[in-house]
Amino acid sequence: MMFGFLRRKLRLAYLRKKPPTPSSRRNLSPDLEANLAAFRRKLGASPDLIIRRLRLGPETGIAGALLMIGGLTDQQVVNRDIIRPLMNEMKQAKGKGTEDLLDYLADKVVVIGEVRREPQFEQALDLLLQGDTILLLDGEEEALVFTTQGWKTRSIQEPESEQIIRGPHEGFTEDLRTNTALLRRKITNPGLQFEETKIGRRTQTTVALAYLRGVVNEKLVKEVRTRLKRVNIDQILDANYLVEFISDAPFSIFPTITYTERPDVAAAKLLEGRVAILVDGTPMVNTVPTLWVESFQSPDDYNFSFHYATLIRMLRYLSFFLAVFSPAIFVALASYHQELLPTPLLVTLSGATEGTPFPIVVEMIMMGAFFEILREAGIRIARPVGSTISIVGALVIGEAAVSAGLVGGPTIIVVALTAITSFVVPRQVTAGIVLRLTYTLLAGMLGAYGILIGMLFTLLHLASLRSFGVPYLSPLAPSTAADLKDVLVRVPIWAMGTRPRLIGWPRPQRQPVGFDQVVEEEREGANGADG
Amino acid sequence: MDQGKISPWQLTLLVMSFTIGNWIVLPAGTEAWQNLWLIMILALGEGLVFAYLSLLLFRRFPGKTLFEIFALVFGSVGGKFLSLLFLWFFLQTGAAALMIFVTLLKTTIFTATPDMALLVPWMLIVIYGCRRGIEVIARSNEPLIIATIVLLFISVLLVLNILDPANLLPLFNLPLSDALWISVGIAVFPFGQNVLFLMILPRVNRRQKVTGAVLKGMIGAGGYLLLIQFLTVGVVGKVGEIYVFPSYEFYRMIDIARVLTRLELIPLLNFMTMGFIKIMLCLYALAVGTAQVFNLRTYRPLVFPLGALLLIAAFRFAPSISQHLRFVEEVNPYFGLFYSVFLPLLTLGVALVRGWLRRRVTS
Amino acid sequence: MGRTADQGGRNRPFSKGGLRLLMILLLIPLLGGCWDLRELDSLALVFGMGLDLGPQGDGYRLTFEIVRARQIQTPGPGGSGGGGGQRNPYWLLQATGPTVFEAVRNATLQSSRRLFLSHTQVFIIGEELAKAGISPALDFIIRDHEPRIVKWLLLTPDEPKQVLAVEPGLEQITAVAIADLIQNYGITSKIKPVRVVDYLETRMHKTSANTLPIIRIKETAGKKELIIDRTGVIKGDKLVGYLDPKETRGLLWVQDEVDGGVVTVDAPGGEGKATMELFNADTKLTVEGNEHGIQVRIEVKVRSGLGAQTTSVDLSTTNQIERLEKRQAEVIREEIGAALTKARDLKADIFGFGEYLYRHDHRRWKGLESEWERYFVGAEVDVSVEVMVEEVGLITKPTIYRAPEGG
Repeated sequence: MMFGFLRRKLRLAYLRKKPPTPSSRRNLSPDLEANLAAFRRKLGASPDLIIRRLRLGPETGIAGALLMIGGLTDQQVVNRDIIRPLMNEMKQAKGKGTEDLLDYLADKVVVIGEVRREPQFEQALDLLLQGDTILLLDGEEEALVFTTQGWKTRSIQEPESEQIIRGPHEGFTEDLRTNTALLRRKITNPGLQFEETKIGRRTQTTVALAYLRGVVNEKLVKEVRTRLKRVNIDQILDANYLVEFISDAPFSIFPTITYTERPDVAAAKLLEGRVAILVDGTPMVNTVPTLWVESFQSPDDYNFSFHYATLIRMLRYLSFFLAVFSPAIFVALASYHQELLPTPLLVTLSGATEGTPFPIVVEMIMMGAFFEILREAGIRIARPVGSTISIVGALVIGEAAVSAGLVGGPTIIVVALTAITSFVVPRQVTAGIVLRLTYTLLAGMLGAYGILIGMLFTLLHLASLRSFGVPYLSPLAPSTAADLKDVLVRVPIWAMGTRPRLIGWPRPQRQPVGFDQVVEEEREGANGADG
Repeated sequence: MDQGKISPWQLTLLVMSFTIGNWIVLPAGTEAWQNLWLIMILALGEGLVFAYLSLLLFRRFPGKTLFEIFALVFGSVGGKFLSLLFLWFFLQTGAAALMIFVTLLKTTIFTATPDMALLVPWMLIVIYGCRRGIEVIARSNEPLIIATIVLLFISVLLVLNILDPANLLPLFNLPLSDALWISVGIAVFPFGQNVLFLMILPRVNRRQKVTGAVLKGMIGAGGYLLLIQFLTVGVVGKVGEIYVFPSYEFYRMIDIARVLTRLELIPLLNFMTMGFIKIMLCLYALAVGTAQVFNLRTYRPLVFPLGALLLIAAFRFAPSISQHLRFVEEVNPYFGLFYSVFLPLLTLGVALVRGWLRRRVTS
Repeated sequence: MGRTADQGGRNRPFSKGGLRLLMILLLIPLLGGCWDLRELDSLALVFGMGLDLGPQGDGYRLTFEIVRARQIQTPGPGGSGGGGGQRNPYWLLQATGPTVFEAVRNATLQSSRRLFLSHTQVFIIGEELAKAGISPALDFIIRDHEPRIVKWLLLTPDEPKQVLAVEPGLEQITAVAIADLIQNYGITSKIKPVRVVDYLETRMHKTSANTLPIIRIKETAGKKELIIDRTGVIKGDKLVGYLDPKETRGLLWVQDEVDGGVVTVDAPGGEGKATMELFNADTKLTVEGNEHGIQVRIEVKVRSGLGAQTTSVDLSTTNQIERLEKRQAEVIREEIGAALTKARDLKADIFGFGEYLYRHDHRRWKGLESEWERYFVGAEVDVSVEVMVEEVGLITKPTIYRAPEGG
């Protein structure tokens, strides 16, 4: 009994450490039936494995079979461009002579865009599972693989979490090829490179790196490649699985790798010299390196006038500040620094909190938690009821809590303010919540001094973070004056002459500054590799 | 030791924060009240001269920290002895600064809180920052010092309606000898304390810019402190003489249209951030210095125990504000002169002499 | 502990031991509790503070006016102003002690809440205490971090408690009403509002004497009201005399503290009065000294306008305006003269002549300092007043205008 426990633990440890068995590198056999049996065995007699037998050549001809996975292939293409030509060939029964049969079929018969010869069983199986069609012929040691992918994907729509008012409304989908195509459409430049690898032992998910050659720092690309190679994981179901592996600071609450679902955003980042990571099966595209100030930028900023954009951007910083600090400030003022409140306010506040049973710290945390619960419930609830719940919850319950004397009116106001402002900067929401809670607790313990301590700790932490070699707080902390043009303000587009210094330094100049520049005649040409 | 690199601009900002540090809450030389800002100009000049001496030392031994220079000039034993002396200086400076801020907190806000509850979080943050290296300290400092400067400008605007230039008179009612003595006191505290930076200068990535950066920082800080003193006297008047923390009282008096009033917490917190930077730098110098004295590979593991030491030292050096005031008035000028002027000068002198001797031998 | 990101390593913050130690350290503040945390409903907000001598003539007796926050709430169904079963928005608390600080602490024995002094608007000192010496009473107010020194200071001949108990007119708390009163009076240049810090400032000049407005209770037809109509002169630290309203105004003229207000003169060329509204007043004070004494020059420049008249004469002609100006100047000169006389009687330099000399000619001041009283009393004072009447309001002739006899 005891030993059973020990044994299980040891076995668990052993299994954890055991390296995965390498896949066998077996070739296809010339025997058709053996091959088919092998495929069937590997796939476990799966009902979506379609085996279409046929015969090539006159008389009995050569036995062959087409294998495909139903649902993954474009059936029309398979019927029209593979089966029919093969059938015709069978009818015509031309002599093939010394020509290699497979080559003949590939070059002259089948009308598919991408054709391959595959000698290895595992590879063929892989390709089959990706939606390719495999032609096995009796007597041949290689199979012909036709690219026939045609599954259903979501159509291109604007991502819900990244809506903007003006500008393109396209979003990435779950299909990698669609996504790479969307990027290509934004950047029609031969410098745009993709590198694909498969990650995830069981899921074998295709992961693609994208970068703009000539603009990107080659060392950055190498670093990303290295880190991706290190990923040893069972499954990749979403980009975030990768992110937690390759992140610089996996324990930090601040994201050092950011994501986007929008092609225009991804393209813009590529043009600054960043690297994008696309994962098949998810519309989330990650970009590195990531700076803290990126969370405050939105594509909307560039589609409106720069006056408005600057104001809105400052508003975002203010909102973030409010979202994180307002409960803490309120707690500190009301619990420790009452002398700082203007007298009439203090009297009102006093009257409002008189009779409430809890200290303000507790009130704040309680109502904050309550709000988070509301928010989470609002997401999970079926759509028509969802918005009702939020409004009902907020107004009615808040109001009732005040009337019942459980919390004070000002507390509700502060929580409401916090709630609204926390949505303005979506990418720092998670960090924001943690910070907010920490600061509130610190404020409850040591007042404004506690908040100061927390703030300094956050500042030191942020200052020590790097994202793929770039300090996280640039261009604020190692202050780079030239880069500040897109941080707090948004200078006019014609003034954005340079790329961010630490990221795009291979090619710092975007274009000359000024709005009445004459476009020079192509020298190396806009299609050259000068980006 | 620490691989981080800082830029000359970051150095300038660090020097500024360090100099502003704790002087801003508890200035030296308040006996000269209205004349203080004039005396400060003098003190700044003296301080710049002292700093230049130390910078010459760095020029002569580029890329070496102060302790390494000691070892080169005075030999291994002599060097270690002087290094130990300086370790004491770093400890003293940091502990005094720490005690000032804690006293400030206790007098103004936290009357009932025990010292430890205030000191421990402070030191934890300082230790955290120190361990991260000088780069992180420099980066964190940038927004803090910018905020301080912005606050100054806002303060100027806010006090325009209560500033009474008549408060600044009379000038020159102090005998010259007194004024000189006070100016020396200010020249060593806070300006002279910048000798600490000799431990950090090797980390700057552009060597030639170092001298300019340090001097610029001192001038910037001097200007800032001057302006604050000027405003404080103008607003608070003669009453400021009796106050322990005049600048704090200065901020308590701001009142615009009955709305913008009671704002003193913000400058208070802001001054504290300057104190943080100063103490972080002191601990950093202490840790790096200790590591050099004992020939250690890295200074990191020392930060925590030395931080604890600093905390305890704060208790012991200045258990009461009266003792601290007395120290600043009576002891500090000599103490500071010894470290900021005498020792660097001595080192420079010996180095020059040795170099001259060596040249004579080889020629 | 792990290498930091700065050194190219992953940002692994803590080793196991370090993490544990940190946890322990972080828990330390929680062990003791939050020492300075003051919940709002544990505070007694003191809006007004009265100081007077203790019962046996020594020590201090303090009166606190404390706000009942609940009663101040926005007008509910009960209506405003303590009607029908509602309690008073404030209550008064008294305590005694050998020092002010101890008296404050003794007060907490009677209150269920901790006294919070940061929002005290007015400090009222009883005249008895003023005669014994003010500064010792003020020491606590300056030294402690809670009370703010930019608040008003007043004297009263009555008991401070009675003063704070007077039913406020438009406000809900008496202390607030008093603070507003002071400011209004200041605007009309009837009193010189003095904050604690101003008092201190003057006190620290060795030759200057302080003045404080005096508030008292006036009973008319059974109803109590508060008025401020006199100023107290405090020499050294003790109350030595008074300035009546005219003398007070004179003081304000000399100190360049007149911001507004009215001057009523006899109307030239007829019976009745004319009241001039003061728009702007500037006083230039110069003090010079030599071994024999000091010479003071006071130059007043006033801009005013005709506000109201009771006479039927047309005062808007240039002739009349000139005469108005002359009369105004006379009145002002009289006021200044009255103030000077009283100050000389009391031998108190309430104008700050000494202060001026201290600032502008320090050596001379040092020489005269020891015998300042003598020099002050014997000062040669030269007063010149210049008045300019700029406007006459919306109308020129009064409605009851009658052409003057003989044109």
